[in-house]
Amino acid sequence: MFILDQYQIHLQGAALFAPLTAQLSSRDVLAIQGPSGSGKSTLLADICGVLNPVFFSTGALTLNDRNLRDLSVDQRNVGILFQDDLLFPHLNVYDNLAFGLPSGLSRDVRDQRIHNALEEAGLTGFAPRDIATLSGGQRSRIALLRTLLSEPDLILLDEPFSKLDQQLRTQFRGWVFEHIAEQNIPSILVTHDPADIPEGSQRLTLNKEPANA
Amino acid sequence: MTSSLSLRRPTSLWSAILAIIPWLTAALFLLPIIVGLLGTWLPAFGYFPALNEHSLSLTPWRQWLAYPGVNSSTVKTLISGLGASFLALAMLLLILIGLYPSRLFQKIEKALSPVLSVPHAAFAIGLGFLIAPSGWLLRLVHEATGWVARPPVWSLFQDPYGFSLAVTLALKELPFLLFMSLAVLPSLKVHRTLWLMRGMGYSRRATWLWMLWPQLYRQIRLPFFAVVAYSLTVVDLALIAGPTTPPTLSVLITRLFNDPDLSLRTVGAAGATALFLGVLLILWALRIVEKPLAWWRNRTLRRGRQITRHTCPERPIAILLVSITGLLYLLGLVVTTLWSLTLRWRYPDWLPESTSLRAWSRITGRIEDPLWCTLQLAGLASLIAIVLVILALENEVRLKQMNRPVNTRRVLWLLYLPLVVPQVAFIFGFQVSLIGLRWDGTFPALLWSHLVFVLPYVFLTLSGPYRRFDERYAWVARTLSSGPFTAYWRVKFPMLLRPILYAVATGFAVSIAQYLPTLFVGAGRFSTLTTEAVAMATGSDRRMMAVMALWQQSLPLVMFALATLIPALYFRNRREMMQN
Amino acid sequence: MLKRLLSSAVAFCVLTTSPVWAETWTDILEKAKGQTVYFHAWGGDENINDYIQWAINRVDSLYDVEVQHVKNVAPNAVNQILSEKTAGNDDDGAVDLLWLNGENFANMKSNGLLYGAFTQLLPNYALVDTENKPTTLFDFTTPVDNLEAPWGMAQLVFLHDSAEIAEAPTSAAELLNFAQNNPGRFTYPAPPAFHGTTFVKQILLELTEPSDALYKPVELADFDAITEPLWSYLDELHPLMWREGKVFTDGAPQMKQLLNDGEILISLSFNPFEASNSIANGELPNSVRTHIHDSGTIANTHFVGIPYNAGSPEGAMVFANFLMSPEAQARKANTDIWGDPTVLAMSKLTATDRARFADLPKGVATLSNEALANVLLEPHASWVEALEKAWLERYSQ
Repeated sequence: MFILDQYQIHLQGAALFAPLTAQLSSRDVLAIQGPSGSGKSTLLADICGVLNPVFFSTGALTLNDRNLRDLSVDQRNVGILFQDDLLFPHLNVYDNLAFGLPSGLSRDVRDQRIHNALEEAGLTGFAPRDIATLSGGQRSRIALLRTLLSEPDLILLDEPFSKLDQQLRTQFRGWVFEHIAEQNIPSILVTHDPADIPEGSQRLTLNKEPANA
Repeated sequence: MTSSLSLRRPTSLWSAILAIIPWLTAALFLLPIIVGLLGTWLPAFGYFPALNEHSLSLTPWRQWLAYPGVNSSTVKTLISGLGASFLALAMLLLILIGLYPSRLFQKIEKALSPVLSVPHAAFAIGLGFLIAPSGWLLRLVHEATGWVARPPVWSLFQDPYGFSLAVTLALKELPFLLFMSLAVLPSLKVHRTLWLMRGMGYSRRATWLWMLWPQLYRQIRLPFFAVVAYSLTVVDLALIAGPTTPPTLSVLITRLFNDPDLSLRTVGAAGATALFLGVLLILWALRIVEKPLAWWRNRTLRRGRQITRHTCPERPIAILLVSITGLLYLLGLVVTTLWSLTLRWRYPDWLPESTSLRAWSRITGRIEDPLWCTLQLAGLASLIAIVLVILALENEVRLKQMNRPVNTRRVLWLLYLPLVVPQVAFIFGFQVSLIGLRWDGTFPALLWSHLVFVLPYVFLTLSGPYRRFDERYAWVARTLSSGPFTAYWRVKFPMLLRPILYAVATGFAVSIAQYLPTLFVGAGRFSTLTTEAVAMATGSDRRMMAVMALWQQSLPLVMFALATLIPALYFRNRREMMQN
Repeated sequence: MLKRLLSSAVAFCVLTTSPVWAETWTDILEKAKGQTVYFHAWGGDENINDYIQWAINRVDSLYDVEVQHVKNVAPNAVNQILSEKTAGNDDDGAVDLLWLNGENFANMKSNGLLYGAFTQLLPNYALVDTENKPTTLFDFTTPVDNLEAPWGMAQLVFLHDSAEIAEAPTSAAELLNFAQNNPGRFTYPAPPAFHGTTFVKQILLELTEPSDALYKPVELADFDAITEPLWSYLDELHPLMWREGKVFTDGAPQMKQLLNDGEILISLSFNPFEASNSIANGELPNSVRTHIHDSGTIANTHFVGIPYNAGSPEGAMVFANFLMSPEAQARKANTDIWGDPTVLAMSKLTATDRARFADLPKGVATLSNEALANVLLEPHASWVEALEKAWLERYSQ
């Protein structure tokens, strides 16, 4: 359960947007829209714990009954996917995926999970491949797999489809939400394109707060 | 509501450590320079207790201004120093206009590190072997044509005005400027700009001159200033390739410091101070003159497209330039190697009359101690420097996240002071204070003095690529449940491995090149490859000199080779890591 | 004149040499045991380096004194000492012994940078030929006063390529004549480089008749009038020199290279054995020969001295003493090893020691002892500075 309650981000005493309230259970998708500079990316940064200290946020921000503000980035179990896949270029597919896995797994378990993940993504046999030899679509899929393998409690999607061409985009979009749903976790999607938003999503629009608020 | 407000500082101790690093670094490295400068300024104003001079006066300055040849020495210094700097800059621009981006340029990039690793003095000696009137090139001419049976009496090398010094310096500084540009060029989006501007009717040359060059210059200003300061104050190279009666200022000052007449020390101190002020003045002027130039450029650009289209003669000229430079480096190495294997060799023979391995076996028999000392010094200095530089740059990342990048930049500027202050202007004063502390002749003090010069170059080399790193990689690593250190070691460090190793190699080469600090701070207790090479160079035996020069060159060369090979091997199956 | 100088020298020595310490040689040997001595000496010649290394090994095994050869030129060593004095390190300096002579000695002496009279304590000093080699007592006319130990003899000689020159010029006038016939083929190092100043002094001595004034302080002489012939000579010579006299070499080592390259045909040296040594090791062609000027050439002695703040003065004395031993001097005089003339008097040696010198190889290009006997003494030390200054004002503008 992810909760935002009367949530706001402030910069130099002024709020970036009107207070937000939302509650996400597993499989829920929250779509956030808003013009450039309205604070969408800042919001995601705060949730994953890399908020620039010049900002500060108020209101409840909890994930599975834990106050996220008490936790450092790596303790939050919040995964993020950007429009760039940000796969580590010095590691092969296997090592990229293994990076997300919890530590302390036996080699067999690790191999098995990665094998399964690749198989589901239709990328069987890709484990030893160099990242640079993959197509854009393949890379995007690996990036999502990497995030999912880290078993996050919440996943953030920062315009993850905007760099893909139209045909690939529709395909990949369906695939992403399918996989997130399988993990039984909520997700937050930031996007410019209404077509990216799956049906049944909650929606929030960030609006500049009136000056007198 | 306020209860939920919590500014988390999970790594506050780490932040605190990072925060003091730039200050610590700056203090550690400014101290010797400031103390050293004071130790030079006091004698410059007549205070020199060791010679029973206790009162302040302007006499040393008057003596300096009246010293024979100071005026003409100043002119020669300006010709060679500024001439070299602008020549190097012009060659850089020409090569970029003609060849960037192109496949040939990528080849040049690859050849850059061996060229960079050649010590200045070794390059000048090699060049002298080549182009002196009895040099190898004329011997080849004689071999081919029978002409010039005796060495002609021309002043091809070491001319009285400093032109050959300017050219030698420029050829040595060009690779450095080229290397520093490499870090900046990707961010200029040259290919796209050229494309765009061609559509608007601007030629390649015009686009470079009016659009790209000003941006590039702003980013390589600091290394360029280092080149200017270095060229105006270089000693070893000026001794080999420079004029003699009078020589350039730095040589003249060194001579005064070394004169048996001890009272000339104060005159030398005044000269060193004057040279230091002169360098500052010139750098200041170069900074100031940018403004009217920018204004003029903008005015021209505002008038719109009147720049003519034409074909680009820069390309063949640039190719010629690169080939000649490369050839000079290569032939210099070849002729040095030949000398190292020589027993007898006279003009006009183009190959030694008789050869021998004697020079090699004599030197190799006693190279072990200096080699070991050099490796320890250079290895430790470059390692300490790389750690400090990485910490300082990480602190920048931290400050940038806090929107406060200004302070750190200003502090780090000070790091570059050793590049701008002539060595002759502070090394003697530094030595005095170390002796006062009884630290002279100790390894830590020597290491410290090397760090003063190694650190700025390591910073200069690494900061570009480091600042361009996409921090989101580190964030992603952290959201994948890894702590900050794991994220650094497993993601950021390996991704930056190539520039980091390159910076280490640069630091290594800089440490190896240090002569004066090794001699003075080390109180003669430590002999390195360079002190041995310089000792040999004061003699007449070219064979020994050549062997020492080759030894001295080989270490940086090995380091640069490792810095290229390790990542290449490690990432041989990672195509994205092979680019750039 | 030589005799006159000599007698005054002896008188001077008697007056001034009283031992600074009531120490005996045995005390010194005892104290020296286990000391480390830093010997600062020019390291540009691998033969000399090897010789010094040999001496170091000998002293280690004979006296248990460890010597380190710091390859450093005298001016840098003097700077080190000066910095130490500035910083107040008056008892544990980094330099224990240094190779020096001439101006460096004179300046160190007048600024109190030398340890004190010590050579009278060294047993081997008694073997030095102070009677016939006055320059062992007067270093560039500055009284040595036992402040430095004689190490080797030096004399200005010229080297020429006999394949190119049938008859070498043996006077200043002939040298000028040679330059006129072979423009660009002669040069000398620019003063204040040691060899350059010596060349200028040599010419001045040859052109000044009588030369008495040159042996008195320069203040007492009419400098302009006396040096006028020198300047007009150089004015005439310079345009005929290598690079038309606009560029000079920085020392004798570079001149030797130019001689080998054929850029110049006459070079100079302070070591009478230099030509033979260099032919033997391949630096010069077999056709190079030595000559001196008929009027004689400037001769002097090079020494080793102890700085005032040496950390291991006793060890330094033991090493200096060994350098003056017949064993070390004979080895040094061998052209296969180094080829540097001895400071010892053969008459003072035992028969065995004398035999060490008897059949040393002399080399093909070395002049006979008789030819070399023709020496000139250095002018008064004060002339050096005045000549260098005047030279720089004229030719370095």
